[in-house]
Amino acid sequence: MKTIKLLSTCLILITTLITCTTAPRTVPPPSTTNTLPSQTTTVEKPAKVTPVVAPTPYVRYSATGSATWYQLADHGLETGSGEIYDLYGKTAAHASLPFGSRVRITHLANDESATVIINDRIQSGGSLIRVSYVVAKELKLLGQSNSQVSVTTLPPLK
Amino acid sequence: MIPIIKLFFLTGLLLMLSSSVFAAQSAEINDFIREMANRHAFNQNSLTDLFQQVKIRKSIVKLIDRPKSSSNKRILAAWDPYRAQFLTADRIEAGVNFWQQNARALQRAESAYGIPPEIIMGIIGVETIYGKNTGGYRVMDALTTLAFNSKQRADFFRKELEEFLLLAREENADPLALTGSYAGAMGLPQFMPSSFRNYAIDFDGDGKRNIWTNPTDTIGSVANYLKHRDNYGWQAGEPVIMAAQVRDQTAADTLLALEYEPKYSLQTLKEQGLLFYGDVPDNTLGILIDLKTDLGVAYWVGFPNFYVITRYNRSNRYAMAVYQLAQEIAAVYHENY
Repeated sequence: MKTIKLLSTCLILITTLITCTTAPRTVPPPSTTNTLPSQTTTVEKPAKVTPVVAPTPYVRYSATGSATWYQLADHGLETGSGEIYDLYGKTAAHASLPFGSRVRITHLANDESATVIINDRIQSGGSLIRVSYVVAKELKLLGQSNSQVSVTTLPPLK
Repeated sequence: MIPIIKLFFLTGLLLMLSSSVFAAQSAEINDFIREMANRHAFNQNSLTDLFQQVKIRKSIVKLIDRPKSSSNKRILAAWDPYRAQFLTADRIEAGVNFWQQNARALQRAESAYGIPPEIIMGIIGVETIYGKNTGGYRVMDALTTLAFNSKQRADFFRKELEEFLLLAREENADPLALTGSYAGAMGLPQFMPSSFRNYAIDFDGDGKRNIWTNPTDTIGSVANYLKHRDNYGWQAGEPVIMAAQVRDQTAADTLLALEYEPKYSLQTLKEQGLLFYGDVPDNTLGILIDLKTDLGVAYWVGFPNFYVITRYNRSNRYAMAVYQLAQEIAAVYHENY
């Protein structure tokens, strides 16, 4: 009886050892860096991370091109950033600048300028920037045939 | 508060037109004096002396009693010219400077009452350009004129005159020394006497509530007003106003016919035809705001905080001017400081 008891204890020990050593091979520990679906076949759910509002990356950028502006029908619609377009907001749409970028726009024909925040994406169509109605008014773009502007990014606020 | 826009143009004119038609109202004024003496234990002789020094300014009445529109249809006044009066480069610059000089008081007002500095800047800017246009009338003259000559609002102004007499007594001030607008709105924030008695505070601890020359008391008083005026107080961190759409006239008419108070949820407003795409929960309360812009009528949802601004002056254009001026000043201030 004693030998049986001893044997079974040994067996339990051995199996435990085996499972212990083999476990990591069958169930890989959740990796913080892996992104490929093939590596995340375990039942482990990725930890929920509360999104942190990242500061807008400051892209040094300067360009000239033509400006267009939004229509009344756009007022109240969602922009690419998720913000709602307001015809009196100091905002603009650009093809690539990160949302939240502050840019200085200068109307080259009259030197009027305005500071705006990029919060929308411009679709293809040849213009460099699309500004809100109130910005177009400030730049005296309305009713002008020449809508050439310069666009320069400004460093983010402290 | 009563808009003071026309004040600039009319000050000179009014000085010429002031006259003493005291006799005509003397019976009514005597009744008022007796009433004050009975109700508040004022000395009747002192009050009679005081009112004998008051100058009735007839032309003020014309500014208050405007002809009423005969139809019930809402007439939208143009927004862009109104906006252009208030969102000027000078006013924005004055606001940035006032903010910079009073940054500490504004910070204290924000921590005590939750009102963002720019909103207080917007109000004091629209009211008086930070004290530049506080009105040069003796409050006694303005309120007595209106209390006994206004056809439409005599009761309102008699009440304010009563409040003013109490205010002067409580503040230990000479009633003839206190100045205000043609409507009796006083100091940097243009508080009417009743608002002063209810909401003005001594925010710098010198024992006086001085909204005429003290920016700190003014800032605290405006913040206290926005936080505590009737049932609606400013809610820190909540939205003020966001653009929306209403695509058919029937829906717009229905939404605009609702009571002007934020008591309907976005959900309810959407069921009535509001198109709103903002990231705001459907149970948030709001009102539909319409302004006649250069491009046509545009719509917004005004949240309870927008309504709070209209408690200062019940006008969408006024509240929007305060809000937009606030945004402009904040943008320039944060760029520089």
